[in-house]
Amino acid sequence: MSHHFILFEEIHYGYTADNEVLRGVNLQLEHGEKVALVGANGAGKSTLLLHSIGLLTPTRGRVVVGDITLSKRTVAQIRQTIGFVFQNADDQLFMPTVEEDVAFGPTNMQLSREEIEERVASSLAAVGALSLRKRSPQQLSGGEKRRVAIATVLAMGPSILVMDEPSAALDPRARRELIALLKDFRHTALIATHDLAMARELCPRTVVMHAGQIAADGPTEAILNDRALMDRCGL
Amino acid sequence: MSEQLHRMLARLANFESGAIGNQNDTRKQAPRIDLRARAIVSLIYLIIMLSVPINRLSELLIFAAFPIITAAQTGVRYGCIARQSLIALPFVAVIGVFNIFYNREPIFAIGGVIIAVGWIEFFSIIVRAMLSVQALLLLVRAEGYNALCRALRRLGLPSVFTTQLLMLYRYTSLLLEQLLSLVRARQARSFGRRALPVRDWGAVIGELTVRTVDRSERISQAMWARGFRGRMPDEQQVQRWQWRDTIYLTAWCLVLSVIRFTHPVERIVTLFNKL
Repeated sequence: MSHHFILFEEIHYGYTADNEVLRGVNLQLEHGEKVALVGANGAGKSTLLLHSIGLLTPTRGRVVVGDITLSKRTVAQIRQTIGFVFQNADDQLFMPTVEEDVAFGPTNMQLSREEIEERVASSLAAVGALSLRKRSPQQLSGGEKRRVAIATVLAMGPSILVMDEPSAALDPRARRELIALLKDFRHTALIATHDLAMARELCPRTVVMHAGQIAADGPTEAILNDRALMDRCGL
Repeated sequence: MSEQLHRMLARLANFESGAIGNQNDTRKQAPRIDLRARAIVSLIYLIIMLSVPINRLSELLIFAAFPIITAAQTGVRYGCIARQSLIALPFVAVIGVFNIFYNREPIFAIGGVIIAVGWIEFFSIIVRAMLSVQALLLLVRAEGYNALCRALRRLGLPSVFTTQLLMLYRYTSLLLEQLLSLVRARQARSFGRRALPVRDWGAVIGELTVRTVDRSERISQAMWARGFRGRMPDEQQVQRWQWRDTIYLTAWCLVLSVIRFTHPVERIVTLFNKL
């Protein structure tokens, strides 16, 4: 079985015992698919994404990546397969310089120094941020931070990209550049977003979440043109 | 206040990215002494300098040569370091001021003014504190806090300590960021009222703690997502110990020992008196 494959099976999760945020989510991504995950605030999109790399553990159900079921034992392996881009780039960039931040993942993978340097350079080049490598993340603009945040996960050579609101808080130009960048990627991708125009441009398939459940799953055009569905799901 | 906080955050960022203006260029051109050697020399300097008896102020002053020379070597402006070290002055002054009251034994007179031992001790405490802070600031300023932590790890300090030190540093910038956003939010709606009422302090501190913990949890998630296993990785090019590091270490040990045990200032003063 290919590693480019995620299965969320009957996922239940609640931050408190009496309030379930995810209520039996079933979702499957095939190799090379780009899927948009849309839904109103509090629908459970980010919570579901956090399950994909084991940052949250479902109270019921299971996550399978390739042929590996997510567990404490396999979580490190799965985190090498899935690159997770967080909603707020400031949370993702925590090292003193861009270069060190991008190298953080590959170093944890215990790669050789030459390999780390090569990955840092190639992933920064891929997002057009090679010139920023010596800068402090705190000194970057919102768009630059987002690019570097993507580079930090690309450096780990993931097969799957999981992104939480990648276009949030970007100005129109940075947003257009980001979309162009993501269009070039051939990774399997699951993108949670409120940016329906971006979903339309990038993802042939869209999944709508509402109140912790999958409300709809299908071709992006059909989903986004379903006015009643969009209204019902607060979109 | 928000401007000051903003400047502090920028300084923290500059510390690590090495963007300290022209100082950085000078630093890169100079042959780099291994940070381990610098750390050991700084430690020896502190031990030797602090071992000078408290009432020998004149002997202490010559130790100011170390931060001045180190600043010149690392391309950092000494004036800048001296100014930054002043931040410790109020705390040290509070500690030292009691000597003035408790030790009133006269030691010498200048003109008609009798100077008590307590005053000498007071200034001695201040000079020691300033020199100590300057030595530590220079150690951090030379290559950054992270590089220093890596050097300490390579010196054998357990990684649990160096990771804690690194986290503490990051937590400081997080705390400042959250404080900055709180201060800005308050200023935007305070209509010129400057002081925060005391009754609101608890709420602000509580909010600051909650925000910072929340933010640090998200950062922690980002770290775990990229393979963090409880120890900060050391991906930097490891500088090998070289002859110049040994020479640097030996030379400073010798110089500091000579200064401490041969009392050069006292000898010079005696010589002048004889003349």
